[in-house]
Amino acid sequence: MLHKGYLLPFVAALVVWAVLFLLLDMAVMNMQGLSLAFHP
Amino acid sequence: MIPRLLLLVSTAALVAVAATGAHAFEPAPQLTAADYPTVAGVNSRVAVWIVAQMHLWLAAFVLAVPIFVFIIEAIGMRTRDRRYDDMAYEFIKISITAYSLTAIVGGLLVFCLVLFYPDLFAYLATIFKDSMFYYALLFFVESAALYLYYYGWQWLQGGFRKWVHLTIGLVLNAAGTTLMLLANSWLTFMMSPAGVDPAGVFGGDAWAAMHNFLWNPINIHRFIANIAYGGSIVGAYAAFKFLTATDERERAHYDWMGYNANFIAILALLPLPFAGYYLAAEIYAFSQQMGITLMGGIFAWLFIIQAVLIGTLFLSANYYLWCGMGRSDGAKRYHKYIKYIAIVLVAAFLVWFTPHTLVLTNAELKALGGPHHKYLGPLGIMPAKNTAVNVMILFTAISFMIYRRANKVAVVPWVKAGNAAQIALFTAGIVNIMILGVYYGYFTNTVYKVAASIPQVMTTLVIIVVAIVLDSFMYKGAREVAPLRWGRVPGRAQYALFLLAVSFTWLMGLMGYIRSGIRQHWHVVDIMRDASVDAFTPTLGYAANVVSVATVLFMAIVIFVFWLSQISGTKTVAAGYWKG
Repeated sequence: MLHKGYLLPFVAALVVWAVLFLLLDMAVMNMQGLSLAFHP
Repeated sequence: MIPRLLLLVSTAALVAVAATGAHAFEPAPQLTAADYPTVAGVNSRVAVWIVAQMHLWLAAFVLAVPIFVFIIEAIGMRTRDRRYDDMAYEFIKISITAYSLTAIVGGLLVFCLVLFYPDLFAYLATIFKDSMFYYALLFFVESAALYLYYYGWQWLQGGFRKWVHLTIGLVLNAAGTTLMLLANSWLTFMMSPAGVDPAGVFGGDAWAAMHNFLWNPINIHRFIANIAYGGSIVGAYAAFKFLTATDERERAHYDWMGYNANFIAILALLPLPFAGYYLAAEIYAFSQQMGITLMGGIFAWLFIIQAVLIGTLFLSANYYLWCGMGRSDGAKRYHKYIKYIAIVLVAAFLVWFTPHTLVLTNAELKALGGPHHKYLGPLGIMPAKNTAVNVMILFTAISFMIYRRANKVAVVPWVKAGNAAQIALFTAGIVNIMILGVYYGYFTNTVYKVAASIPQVMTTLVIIVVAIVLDSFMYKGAREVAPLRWGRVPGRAQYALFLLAVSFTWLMGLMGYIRSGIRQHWHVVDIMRDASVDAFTPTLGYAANVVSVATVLFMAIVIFVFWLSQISGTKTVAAGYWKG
């Protein structure tokens, strides 16, 4: 992974995918009438 | 007794034909033990159980095979590669014998129901008279299409004729799938009755009775499961032919066939846990009592066996792929990763089948300080299992992806960035699945726990789809580093295919028993009570034994079908027997 040419795209893609998955979680939980954070 | 049976059946038929309005229908019969005939000392429940199960296995096989034969034939037409057409033809040849057996066992099932449960059969026939009639008609359509499809294969070759042949395949599949949907509505009516009042009086709306609460969840689950099952049985056939092959060419052909069958089985296996989860959630939604009986009550321990078998399916499917990497010397580059995939799969498998509550003696219970283990107990609840199964599916997808890369090198200039993006995709996705499983599973309430399983599934699906799309762009015009040599695969890989078929069969039997068994002492839940001497839930050991006997019987039939295909291609030279 530390090889030249891998690290930068990996980090950039990791941030992009993480944000996209977070948005996906929010959307799916909202569709079920729930928020992302649990409020007891 | 026989005249009484005939009277019952003919009464049902007359009621069915004469009924034109809601007023004509009677409530569900209230039975006593005397209403169940005893025939030749046969145990009614076990007889119907085994025959229905055999029919289901055979039907699953003969419904699934034409679906992927149709797909393979279409691929052959698109690629103009004759090998696909030959393989599709060989698949359909196997299902022809199985088709006759399905019809015979289906007939036997009707006889068993009429003989052993005449009042139940009469009641169901009253409600489902229309769909039963169309079922019979469709059976003729399916038979005609199947025979035309098989016997016309060589006749309808090339150009327009080939399109006609493919259309016949489409008709065959449409008829087969509709047959399954009709039969599904009868059994789901028994679990979640609709179109009847609380006394069981039919309102006259056949569609309402068919379109009951659990119909679609079962339809989806069975459709996907049948494809996976058909793939596994055909894979076993290819393994059998591979092991008995006498020359290299034949071995290469059946290796290729086994790989394709396994590919189809895995493809259908990946979404199957989600379809099963959806079905279970809908059972809970329909009746919480039924849902708790299913997974929190008497049947819960059968789910542990189910978990072991599903784990076996994943392990054997992965093992087959790893063995298959030996077909190309280029795969050596990826060998070092296999052990890590294996470690993750085994760890997920262990979480997947860890029970929540242990079966213990009083002394063991005291020593443990309760029914749950201090450290392993938390792994017994669904969020842990959902997380584990999603990880297992993703690592199976990784196995498949490295298998696909085994003999190739990507030549696009962005290959490093592409690989990094794929690794980041899996990393971010798996972390997301873990957070969803741990946070919502252990630090929130039940509503959140159940709700969080859906983004977990969505994450898995997104990862698989995006990774495969990225891969296909990355490997467009890829350079071959070492040829893929079909036939160069160890014999033990074929036993993984056998294991896949046997595990699927046993799993379907056990889970089918649970699905039916959660009705407990009801023929039709809350409507028609089972008053027979067998209206109790047998012990798990007894149930597992019945399913195991049925599995052995079915596997014997499968071996018989394989053997028939073997001898059909064998010619004996009878020197001096014939004149001239």
